[in-house]
Amino acid sequence: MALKMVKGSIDRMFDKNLQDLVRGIRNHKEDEAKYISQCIDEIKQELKQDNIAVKANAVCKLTYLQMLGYDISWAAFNIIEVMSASKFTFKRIGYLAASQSFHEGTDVIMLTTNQIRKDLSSPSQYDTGVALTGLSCFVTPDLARDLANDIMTLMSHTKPYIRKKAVLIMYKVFLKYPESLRPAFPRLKEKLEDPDPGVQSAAVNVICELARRNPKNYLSLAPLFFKLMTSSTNNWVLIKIIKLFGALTPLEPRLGKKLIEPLTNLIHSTSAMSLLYECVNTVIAVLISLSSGMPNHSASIQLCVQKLRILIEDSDQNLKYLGLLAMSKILKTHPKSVQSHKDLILQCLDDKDESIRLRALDLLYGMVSKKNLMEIVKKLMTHVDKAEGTTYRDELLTKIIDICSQSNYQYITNFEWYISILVELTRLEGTRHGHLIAAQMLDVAIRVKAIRKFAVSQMSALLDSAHLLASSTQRNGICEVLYAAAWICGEFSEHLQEPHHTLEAMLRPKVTTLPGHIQAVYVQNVVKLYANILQQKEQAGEAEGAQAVTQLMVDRLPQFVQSADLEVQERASCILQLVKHIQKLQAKDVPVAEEVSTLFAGELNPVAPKAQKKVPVPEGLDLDAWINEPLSDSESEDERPRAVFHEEEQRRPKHRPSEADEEELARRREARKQEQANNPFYIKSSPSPQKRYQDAPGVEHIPVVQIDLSVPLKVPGLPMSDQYVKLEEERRHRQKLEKDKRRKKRKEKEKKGKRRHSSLPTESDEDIAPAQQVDIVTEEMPENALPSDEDDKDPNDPYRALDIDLDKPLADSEKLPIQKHRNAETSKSPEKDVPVVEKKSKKPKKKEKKHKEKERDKEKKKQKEKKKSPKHKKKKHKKEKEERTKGKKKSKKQPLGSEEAEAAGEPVQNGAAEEEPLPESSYSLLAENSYVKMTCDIRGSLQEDSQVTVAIVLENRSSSILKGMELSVLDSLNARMARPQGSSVHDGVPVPFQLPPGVSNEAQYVFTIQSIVMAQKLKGTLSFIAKNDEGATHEKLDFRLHFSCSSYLTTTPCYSDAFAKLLESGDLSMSSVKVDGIRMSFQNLLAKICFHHHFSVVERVDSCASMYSRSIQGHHVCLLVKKGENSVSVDGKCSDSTLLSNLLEEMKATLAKC
Amino acid sequence: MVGCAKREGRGKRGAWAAPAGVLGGRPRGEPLCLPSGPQRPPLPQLMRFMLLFSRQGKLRLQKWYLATSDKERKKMVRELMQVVLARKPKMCSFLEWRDLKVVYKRYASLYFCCAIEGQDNELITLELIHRYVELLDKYFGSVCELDIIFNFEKAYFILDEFLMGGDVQDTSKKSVLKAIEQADLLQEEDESPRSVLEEMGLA
Repeated sequence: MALKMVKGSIDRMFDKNLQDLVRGIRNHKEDEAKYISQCIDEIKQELKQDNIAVKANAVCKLTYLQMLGYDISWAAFNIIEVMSASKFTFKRIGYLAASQSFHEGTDVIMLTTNQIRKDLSSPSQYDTGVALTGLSCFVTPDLARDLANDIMTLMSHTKPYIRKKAVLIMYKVFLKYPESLRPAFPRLKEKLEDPDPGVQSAAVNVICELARRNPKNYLSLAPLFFKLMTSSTNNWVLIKIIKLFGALTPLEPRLGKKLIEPLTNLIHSTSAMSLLYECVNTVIAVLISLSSGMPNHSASIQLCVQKLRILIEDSDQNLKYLGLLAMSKILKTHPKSVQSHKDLILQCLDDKDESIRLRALDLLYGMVSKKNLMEIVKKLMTHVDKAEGTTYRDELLTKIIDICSQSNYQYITNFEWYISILVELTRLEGTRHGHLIAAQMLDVAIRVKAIRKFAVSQMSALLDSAHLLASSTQRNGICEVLYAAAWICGEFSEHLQEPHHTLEAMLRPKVTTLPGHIQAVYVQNVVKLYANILQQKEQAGEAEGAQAVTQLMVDRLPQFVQSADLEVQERASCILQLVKHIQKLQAKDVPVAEEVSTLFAGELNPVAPKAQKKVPVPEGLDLDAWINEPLSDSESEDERPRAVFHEEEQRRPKHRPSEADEEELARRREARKQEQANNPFYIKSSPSPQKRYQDAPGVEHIPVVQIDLSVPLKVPGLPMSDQYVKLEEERRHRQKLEKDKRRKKRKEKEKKGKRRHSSLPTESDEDIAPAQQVDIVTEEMPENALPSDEDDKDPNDPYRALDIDLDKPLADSEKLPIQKHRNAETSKSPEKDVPVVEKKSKKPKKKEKKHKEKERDKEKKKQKEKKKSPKHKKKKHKKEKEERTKGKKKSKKQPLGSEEAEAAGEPVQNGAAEEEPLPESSYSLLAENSYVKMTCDIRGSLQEDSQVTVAIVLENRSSSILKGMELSVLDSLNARMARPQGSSVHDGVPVPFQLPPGVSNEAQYVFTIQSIVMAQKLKGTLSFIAKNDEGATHEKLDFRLHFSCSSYLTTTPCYSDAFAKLLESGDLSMSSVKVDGIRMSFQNLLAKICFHHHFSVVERVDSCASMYSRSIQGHHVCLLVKKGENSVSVDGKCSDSTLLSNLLEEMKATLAKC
Repeated sequence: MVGCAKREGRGKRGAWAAPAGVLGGRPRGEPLCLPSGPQRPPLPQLMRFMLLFSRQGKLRLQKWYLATSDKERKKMVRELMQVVLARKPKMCSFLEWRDLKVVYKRYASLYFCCAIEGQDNELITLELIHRYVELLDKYFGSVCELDIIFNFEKAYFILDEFLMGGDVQDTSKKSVLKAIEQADLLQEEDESPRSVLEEMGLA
């Protein structure tokens, strides 16, 4: 033995410690992966050793490797082993590893429940602390449910260190197990007044976080927090509370009014920027929620804006950034007060920091008006030229478009200017936003009728310019605009000055280098253009000219026919045939122009994106009904092939462009028009009335610009938008002069008449008349479209589950489940207000616990209830009544108690197993009566041969104090209870505590077992004195302690190679069982076996798993579990055949319940 | 403040510390330049995660306060490191990333990086980072990157005493350090009774 130890220690000396590992990794820079895999192999060896120090060292190294990105999930078991080490040094490492690597998917996590519970109740506060910290990282819904009660108890721990941590972790528990919120909340609320500032602020933290997510349930706490806010000097607490108020005010406007004053005081007085920033943010939030009725409303806004200006002007980039951020919040509701700081914002555009520039851009979006739009965009355009990175430039580009197009081009007074801006933007190389520009061009050209002529001239210039085509091959982002240009030139070809020139530009060979979808648009619009030219030529009687154009088409179209893009190819070949046909007709001197242009007659109108969705389903139309009943299977089987073949034949001729369908087409078009005219759902071109400008004349009558300027309107070539800015300024100036003149005249008139104070001639937005009569065609919606506001909350919001009314009294069904003992130390804690635990006799299996509130709280509640509606009061009374009747029931049930205890004495491994797939706790019911409930857990330990520890939890469910408890157990030949020295076999062993009403506690007893191959049953009695106001009675409760064979097993991990060796060794006897009718998933099944029978999974392949465990006396038990469709077979091998067959019987009983 | 136990630890580490050349450019002792400013205000916060990484993009510490799968973690770390490392020194410490706000600060060669939620206060998070660096500084005695590399578990322990579940659990530096020190003492007790001979089983 000693030799073995020496050997182990010497081995250890050669193990790497963490520092060696780190150093090694740094020294093996070139072959790091190889070195680490070597290290991992070593670690695996180390983990196989029994020495916990070696294991801890290995786990510590693994934690480091995990950070480097290596998977250590395979070592989860070892981590748990180290977590359960008794020494703090190792425990700490184990918990650290767990908190770093465990997550909800870690399957062994459920094995930690008892270990964590044990650590939580450890006498050392650091054990508890380390467990809480670890738990905060990997808490799962199961853990939260099982441990909620333990943690809640810790909130009243004597040490503030523990209280603080327990309070903080409650937030995580609430998130994972929302049912715990209501029972735990009263105590959490108490902690707001904890004497320790750390605990207090932790409670503020948790409640504020909760309230921020679901503010309406916390409105009743507002006065308490208000008091805290005005009294606290802790900035950190203040920030949390202020943030909370920000969330509460939208629900309670009166609160907002009360808040403004203390908040503005804080803004004036505080020197902490973080607090100032928080206050400003909250004031903004409050003012946003208060629409009116604030007397010093504007003063507060002014104060905020001033303070923010100071932040923005600060040299600290962080403050600048945050200032801009907060400013944008004010902007939404008080644009005027922000707009006066335009200079500052524009300055920020020059900042070195990109994120600040982006913030400033966001602000600019809200600051534009008709008056300053051109100026701002001009400034932005200069930034576009200067910008270095493409991302920022792209951002600028989108911002320019956003700014201009916002709220239906509200701020654009001159669309020519806007088109020229768009055209200028096309010069940006390598932008990703070509499609955005294209979309704008299309949108403007379609919706602003007056601009079409100008747009067409610009677009034809674009089509003509080579730079877009040249760059198209490398970066095809910007060539998207050609899509728009081609379409606009085709659709509005009547406005083209030199259509022939444009046609040629569109038919250039270079075009075929463009992406397919753009070529397709080219082909389509070439025909539109062609139709237009044809008509012009024919009207002018230039037959030759017309033929020349046709010839051009016939010559150039084949290049598209050869395109690899299907769409282009199809369109081109179709059109080529059409043109060839026209050519034939032209040869016969037949006038064709009229008919060709009818192909494209009619106008296209923009349709709102949601229009289709909003078409109401007409009455009597059932969209789910079959139009043709589906064919029955038997029929279709023989007929289908034939039908397909038949159809194909029919379809064939359609594919070929018929040469004679010219007339047919025209006829169809006519018919379609007719149909459209009668169809109420077809969107016609009348703009909706509210958007129609006062006296919108027809398109033809609009002179593009009505001003008599010397500057030619049509700017030759590509225009410079700057010219428009100048133009616009002059125009406005003139307008203003005229107005002033008129005003003066009026004034003079007024002077002559009554004396009235005249308003100063200010130039407001409304004064600026647009340069063109802009007829914005709005997107159309079907008539009787329903307004939709899908404002659904995200159903995946994790905080939604915490939307719980906290003011309602606790219902019986909401008690926290308790499946554990209570820490003896906490129950003895000086605070007298240990929660009273009541047991519901009806559902012993659910093991729920009611948490009565403090007397004080009850009174508060009563007062509150008085204020509430009488209806509520009734409810309360009703509830009380119910409780009373329940009490009666309970007393009736009393005689049954002993029977239940009998029943419970049977080998029920886990009461909860029937209800839940994964068991909550390993404690099983031992016995119960109206006074006390006993649950127990039997654990074997490898360290001490042949000994098992029986942990018995005693729960007082009566209103009496239980004292003088004694446990007497009748020893058998095989099993003996370890008694204190000097006591005889027949003496009872005292239970080392008393139980006040509702409290539970755990006592542990050690039993020595000689032979573990058979299950054991020991009879025992618990005797105690129950004392209440009426006196004391002597009571007793019989129980039967059942030592199953499984309870002698200890969970021991095993590696597959060792496992295989074990099986090969051949000195194991074999046995097997099979259980039918199992529906549970294999995963859960394995989990059950692991949990109830203390096995660990060695390897799992599909629905087959090998498992291992070891008895306290060193028997190896190997299992092979196979899952069939509805059955499970378990083959076992064990060094003791009796033990194996007993184990398998127990396992069969467990599985039969699945 | 820093107990003798830790001094010992440092001494040990000193013994095996590799020469500066192997460890990259920075001389070993260079502290993470901590300005000793006035007393800062205390801090609240709920944080999603905290990362420490070097200028070379090597992760030094990671703490996740919201359970995240390994794959997702790696992806986020990689992305975020790229974004942060690409930022120029004069830029502000905040950036919007995915649906989160990232607050970062560089101390010498180490980036401290926190992800917070939309409504949270950036300035206080910055304070929080600073406070953590101060704690490290106090504990290790003018901390440098190597301290964190070689004693990464200590760095975690300090962080765990300072923040829990993404929330500040103690605003007082003193009490955090006290807790750490006492836990360390507990650890020493565990270890100290065993002499080398005892460990070898020869006693």
